[in-house]
Amino acid sequence: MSEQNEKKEINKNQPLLQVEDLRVSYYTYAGEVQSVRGISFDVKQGEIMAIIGESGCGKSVTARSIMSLIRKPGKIKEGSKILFDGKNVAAMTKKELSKYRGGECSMVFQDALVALDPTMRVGKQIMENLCIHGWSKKDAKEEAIRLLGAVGIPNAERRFKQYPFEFSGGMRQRAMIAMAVACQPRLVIADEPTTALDVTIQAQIMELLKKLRDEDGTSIILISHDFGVVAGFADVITVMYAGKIIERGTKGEIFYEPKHPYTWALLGAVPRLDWKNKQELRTIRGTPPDLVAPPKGCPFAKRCELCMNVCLEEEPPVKAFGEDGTHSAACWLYAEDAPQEVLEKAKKFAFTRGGRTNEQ
Amino acid sequence: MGKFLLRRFLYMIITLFLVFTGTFFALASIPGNALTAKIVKLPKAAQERVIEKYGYDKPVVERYVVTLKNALHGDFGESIVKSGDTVQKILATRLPATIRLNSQQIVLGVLIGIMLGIIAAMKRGGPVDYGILIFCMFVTSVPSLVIALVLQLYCAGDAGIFHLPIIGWPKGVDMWFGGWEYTILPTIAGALFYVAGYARTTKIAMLDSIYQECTTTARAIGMSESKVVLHHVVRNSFIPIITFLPGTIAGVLAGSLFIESVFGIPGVGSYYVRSVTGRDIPMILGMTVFYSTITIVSIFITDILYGIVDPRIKIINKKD
Repeated sequence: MSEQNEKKEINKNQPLLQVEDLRVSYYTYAGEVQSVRGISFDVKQGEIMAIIGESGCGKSVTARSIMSLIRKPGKIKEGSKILFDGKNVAAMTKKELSKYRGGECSMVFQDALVALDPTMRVGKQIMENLCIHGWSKKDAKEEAIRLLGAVGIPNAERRFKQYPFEFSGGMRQRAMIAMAVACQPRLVIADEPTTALDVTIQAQIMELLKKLRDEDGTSIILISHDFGVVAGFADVITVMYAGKIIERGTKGEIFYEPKHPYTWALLGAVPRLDWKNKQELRTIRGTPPDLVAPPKGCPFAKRCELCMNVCLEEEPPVKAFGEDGTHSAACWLYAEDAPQEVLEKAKKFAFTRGGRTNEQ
Repeated sequence: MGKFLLRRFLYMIITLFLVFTGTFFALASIPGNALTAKIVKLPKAAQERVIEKYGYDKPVVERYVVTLKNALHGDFGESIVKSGDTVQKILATRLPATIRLNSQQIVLGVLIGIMLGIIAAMKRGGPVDYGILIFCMFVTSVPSLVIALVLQLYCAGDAGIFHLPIIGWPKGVDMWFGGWEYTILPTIAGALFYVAGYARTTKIAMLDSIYQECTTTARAIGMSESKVVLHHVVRNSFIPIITFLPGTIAGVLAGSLFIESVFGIPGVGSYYVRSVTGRDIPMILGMTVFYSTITIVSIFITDILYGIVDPRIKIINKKD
């Protein structure tokens, strides 16, 4: 235990997880679906990173890639690199992978009702994780009961013997979290952990995950399509669209100085308390592009109200903002030679769509 | 649970009663029976005396009441064709052969079927999968009677490849665990049909469970692929497979009626077939009740098994 803590101290400044140029495709009858198209990011020890985006933008595929859970017909393409604590996940042997999954990096799934085996007692499923990672059956049982208590399930001893369908939705998600954190992993990936839950339970579950980071220094990747969930919780936010990262920054940067028109649009779609009565909720027109034949230029161009000719033709460069380089966005608006009238229009949009901006 | 069991038990009794009644009246409505064949050469007066002795001069409803009353005491009467044969006696002497044949068929059929199903599911889409599919289609479409004859022709006797005995069955000390050479062909002939059914059911059930989200969870905690299949996939696949089991037991019983006749096996089935062709009413009635009892009981056992394999079903029953 103490040894593990020491290790954590040493690597504090080094990223725990590095993802470089991750590309994942699914080979279907319709053709090659390019779910993730070259994304790079890293997660530091003890950091909570949120990946946000619409359905089908590649969030979950990214999560599964990190866990090396991509199965046929999906494939992580050559040249993609996922380094966990410096080790290449793709090159891991079966044994190493078994230790890595659940032991060092684990996952909380969206719908615990289907993610837990319906015909197996909840306690036993938590025990399974412990037993795989070297616990004896007897110790594992005690630990599983302790874990159930620790994630806020009352009567843990009795609950241990129950089946998933005897749990309420929130309790099930708690059990799922207990299972994920059983072996004290250094990274927990939560794939839409609260989407199936109501708002009160949502807050409790997020609180539970946050406690995990604060107490054990666990890094968390939170996948969500809901800015409301992310707002009170994440340190760093990554916005994904059509298999690409279009903007990335700290929570403050994304909420108060968003740079990408898509982020403006997303933030504009969140209802706000300071809006006047009967103000219509903004929506983004159109649908995300088909990833069998992804667009040549910026993926958001077709839906963007500031679309320029260059947006349709060429991929936008990634531009970094600020001094420490935490904030970046991929948009032609920030190119040197962006036309003045579009910039003027952008200012208006940035203000009305995304809330306050500094340029204003 | 107790209440559930009691109710199911009552249903079983009612079903048996209906089977008994239905069979009785069906048999009574057919003109002629073993008795008419037996007495056809006797003089008229003697004929009437024999009919009176067996009680066939009485109205059908009265006969029904008497037969039912006796049946409730376990007495279905004596065979008309062969005096001295009762249902109990036949079961005592002939059941061992039938039980052995049927259990061998079920064990072989279910084991090979499930195995093929698992292989087909793991190698889905490949040549092995298609091979198994074609094999299954073949053995399902060819009646077991034909398979039995083909096996006899090519595998048994002096001309066969394996020189196995064509007909017969181990007796005496070998009754349960000996004389395997006699049992091989009838077992295969009866089992092949079930191999197909189980292979298909297992494969479909496996594919359903392989894509279940919970297998991803199991992988995500570092479980090895073989353990995922063993702990989560196979266990969840057993639910649909179990529904198949009562059908198998009933089907194997029915199938062995002919298999026993073709291979000259001294089992209950071959006797049943002979009773039916000879219109031996008391024996047909008794055997039918016996066969129905086994079928109904096996369905009952399936219901209980369901609850053990899938805890969700048990709870629903508790609430009853």
